[in-house]
Amino acid sequence: MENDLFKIFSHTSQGLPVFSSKDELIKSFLDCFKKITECRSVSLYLVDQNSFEMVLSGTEGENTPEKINNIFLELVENEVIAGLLNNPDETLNYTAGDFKFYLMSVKRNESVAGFFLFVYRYGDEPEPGKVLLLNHYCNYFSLQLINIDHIKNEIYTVDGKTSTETGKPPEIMQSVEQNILLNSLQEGILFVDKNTGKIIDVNEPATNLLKIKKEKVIGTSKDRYFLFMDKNIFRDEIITQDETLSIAADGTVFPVLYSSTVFNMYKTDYEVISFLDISERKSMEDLILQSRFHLEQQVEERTKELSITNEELRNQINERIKKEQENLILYLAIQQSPAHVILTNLEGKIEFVNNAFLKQTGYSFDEVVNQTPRILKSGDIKPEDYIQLWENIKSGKPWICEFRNKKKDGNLYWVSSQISPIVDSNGNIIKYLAIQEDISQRKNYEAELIDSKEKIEKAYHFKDALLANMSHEFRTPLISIIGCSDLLIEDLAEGEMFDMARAIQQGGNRLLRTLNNVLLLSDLESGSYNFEMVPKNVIPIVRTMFDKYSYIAASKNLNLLINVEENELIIQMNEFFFNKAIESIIDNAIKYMQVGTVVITIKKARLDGRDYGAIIVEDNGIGIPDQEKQIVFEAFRQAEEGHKRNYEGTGLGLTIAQKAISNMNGFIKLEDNYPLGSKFIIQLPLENNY
Amino acid sequence: MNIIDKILNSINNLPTLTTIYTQLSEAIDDEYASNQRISQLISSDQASSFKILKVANSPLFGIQRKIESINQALLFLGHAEVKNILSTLSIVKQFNTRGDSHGLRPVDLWAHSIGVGIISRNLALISGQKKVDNYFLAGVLHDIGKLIFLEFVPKEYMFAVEFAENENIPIKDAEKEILKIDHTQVGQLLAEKWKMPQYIQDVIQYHHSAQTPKGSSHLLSTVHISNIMARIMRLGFSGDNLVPQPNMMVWDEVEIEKGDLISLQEKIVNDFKNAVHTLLVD
Amino acid sequence: MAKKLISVSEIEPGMVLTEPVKNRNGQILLNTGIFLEEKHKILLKTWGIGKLSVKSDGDENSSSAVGFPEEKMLALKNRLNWQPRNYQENELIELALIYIESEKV
Repeated sequence: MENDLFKIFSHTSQGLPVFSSKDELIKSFLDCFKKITECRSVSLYLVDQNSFEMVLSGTEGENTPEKINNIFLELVENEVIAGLLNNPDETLNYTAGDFKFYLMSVKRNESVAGFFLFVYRYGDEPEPGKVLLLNHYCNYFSLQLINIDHIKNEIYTVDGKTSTETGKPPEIMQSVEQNILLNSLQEGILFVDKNTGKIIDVNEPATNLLKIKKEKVIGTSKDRYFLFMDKNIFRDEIITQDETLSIAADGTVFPVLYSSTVFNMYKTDYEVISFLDISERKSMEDLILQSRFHLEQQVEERTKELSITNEELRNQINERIKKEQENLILYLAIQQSPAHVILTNLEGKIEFVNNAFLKQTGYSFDEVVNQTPRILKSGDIKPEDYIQLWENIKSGKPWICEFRNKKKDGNLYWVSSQISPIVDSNGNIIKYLAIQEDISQRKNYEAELIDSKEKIEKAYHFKDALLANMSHEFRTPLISIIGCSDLLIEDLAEGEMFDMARAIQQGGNRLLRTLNNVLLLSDLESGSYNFEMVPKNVIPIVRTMFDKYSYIAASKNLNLLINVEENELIIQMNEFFFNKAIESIIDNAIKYMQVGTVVITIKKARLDGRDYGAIIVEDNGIGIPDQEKQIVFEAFRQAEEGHKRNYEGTGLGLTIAQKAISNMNGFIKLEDNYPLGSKFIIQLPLENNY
Repeated sequence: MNIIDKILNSINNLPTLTTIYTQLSEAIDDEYASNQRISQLISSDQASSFKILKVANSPLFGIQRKIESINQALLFLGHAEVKNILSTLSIVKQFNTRGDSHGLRPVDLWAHSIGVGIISRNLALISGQKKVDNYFLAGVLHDIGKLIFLEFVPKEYMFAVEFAENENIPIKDAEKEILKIDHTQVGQLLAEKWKMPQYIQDVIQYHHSAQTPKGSSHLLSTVHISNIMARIMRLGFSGDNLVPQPNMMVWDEVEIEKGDLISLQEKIVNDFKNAVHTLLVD
Repeated sequence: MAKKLISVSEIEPGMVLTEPVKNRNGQILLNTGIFLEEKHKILLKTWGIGKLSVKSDGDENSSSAVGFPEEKMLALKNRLNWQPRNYQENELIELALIYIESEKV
């Protein structure tokens, strides 16, 4: 508590210490007190409010601490101190024996912390009518002596009339002899009459701060000088402090610490406003904020720079990692590649070979490193090829060649080799790279292929020779066999002999037919037949064929029908082959039927913008299974070969038909619906298309 | 030259708002402008950027943490708000806050305008408005016409203020009587010249009636109430002491719950002190 | 709940506090609901408290639109000469009454 009270007095509103010791404080106050009151012997006490104990004391002149102590106890007894507690803003005068007291409360944070006692001897008192005022401005305070008489006169005057008719404002501060004290303060002080709100007095610092002459301030409203005031500042008797803005006469605005004390003196309310220019403190705050802001900006910039550097660094690292990964992948790819990779330096010494190479050649890595590829030399490459090789790769071009290499065990293997130089970014050759592919297998296949091709060619030659001989060597004896059997049939009567001759004749005829077909097909295939084409109407030709087969069909109890939709269909054709084709298709249809109907339709068809003549032969016979449709047109094939081959025929008919029709720019389509029968369609371009 | 011509002439001769404001305006209107670019633009003007930080840190915006860079201001307040702070600063810079005429001092008018801005923003917040960016600026600018008068015809305006006081009539009527043109008309002309957005122009022109020919808006109604509240709370001085009754319709537009107006006053005073300090003290 | 603002000297024993009494730092000194006693006068003065809000008797209808003290309304009349039509305007007038004390006379 003692320290606390001491602090109240020893610090200014800005927190700067004023007094360094208690003694100094007491001495200053005593000096001040003496100066104001002009009393010779003064005592000063500071009493703690809680304990009512004196925490500071100082005496001058005749007063002794014991005397004062007794008087103070008397004050406590007479409840003078308690009265002061209830009215903390009042200054009490008290007379006891030879002594007179001034009692004032000392406040801290709006509450009473203790009391001040100024004691003087009776007879050595201040001039009558003067009163001491202890003013608190924030924690800062000032001591004032006010001439009561002067005010008293004025106030009585005021009381006598109405308040607005006050002629002369009470010059409270002027009447204070020690107005030097007020003027030496840092704060500006305004004395305001609470009833009118007008300023009645100011101190010098106030006029300086507001940049206005004293005469001009007096009589004006205090509101003019402050931009805003917390409403609490004006309420009741509260002493408060706050920051606000003060407006100087020239319109400039500056921040102030503002406090207001309201006190009542002789029934009149007065307000003492003190305001302290805190521009410097504010601009200091600004400066701090500003420098922090600059710092922050610099930090941000630095952070940005760092993040950029960081970014770059990270990119570089990423790039390196990527490159290393690429290199690794490349290395693995090279190692695992089935191709042989050989890397040599400029002298041709091997620096690197991959696994595939080692596996193929049987060498170990150490055995080949620093050797030249000459260890692989098989002698396949001629000296002039080597010259070509070096010319190529030294000029930066790759060299590609196929040759044999020698393994460690002396065996040879085929490679396709590409040798190319590796150049650095300046275009200088730094290494040579050979990529060799083992082509032994391919070489084997090649050899096999050539072999079988030769065999096939031989077989063809044989076939050609056979066919060329057929005409003469087969046909001549066959003609004589058939001729002789004809003669025998003419001469023989029916009976066993006749039947035998008949069989010979039929077998011979069939053999001849087959032979003819084979020769025909051979001619068609080799293109040696003179395939002459003339425009002909197909309808009579097909009709003739229909008439011919009607009997055969009837003999097999089959129905053969014809359905002609057109009068005339002129087609470029070779009549002989057309006949052959139609014949073999109709023959085919009837041949494979046991029972049923064959329908021949002749009509016009349109396909891909061209007109065709179509001859359609439909049957409801056994049909042709899907998987066998491909083979019906092949030579010597019948659908259902082998044991099921119970139908007579060489199997050449359809083959010839197809070849012939296609030679006439037409085609045969098989559109059957196995097992419900088959549908052959011959389509040939009409004459008018040309 | 008569007074109206003099005023109109003055408006025409007024320079455009500071370059940094126009640049920034463009940058912020460009949706794709990065924070970095805007912050660079503002930071190029040290004085402005520091002021922005001070305003951004004031309790008005209710940002709990300390804003120590323009980047943070952009982040926490948003582009539009920073732009509004900057335009307020630009306009304060444009006009004289000094001068001690006997009628209406510029500093008192500024205090009033800032007070209206503060109240507008607080009312917008308390009435549950989501977008409160423009309320402060609209409030600050509502009486900009009076600034023109003070700047260019101070003597005539002093008469108008005295006239209003003697006759106990609103300053707007006194302006009409003495100057033949009132501050809402003059203010609107200036706002047009400075290419302010339409809603600001409406506030300047219609804040007395709270009704535009096209009807009202939340912003306009809020400024209307705020103007009256600033007068009631004596924040600054705007030319007369009268407190008009609000247009009844604004209470439908601005939903204020019971007790809100009373409970707001402490925050308003606090915000006001802070903003006045930041904006008016160099 | 009807309440009224009184100054410390007007305290009568038995009055009930309707709003907490705080110091300038916002610390609560006396809480709502406390029955005031004679000793509080000294206490509150020591703390530097000027006014406090207490429960008012039923006959005072201070919350109604027209319930403002006559003399204060008269003081307002010079600049605010209208009657409130709803609670918002009622509050505006309440606000005006708070601030009238700081007005120029």
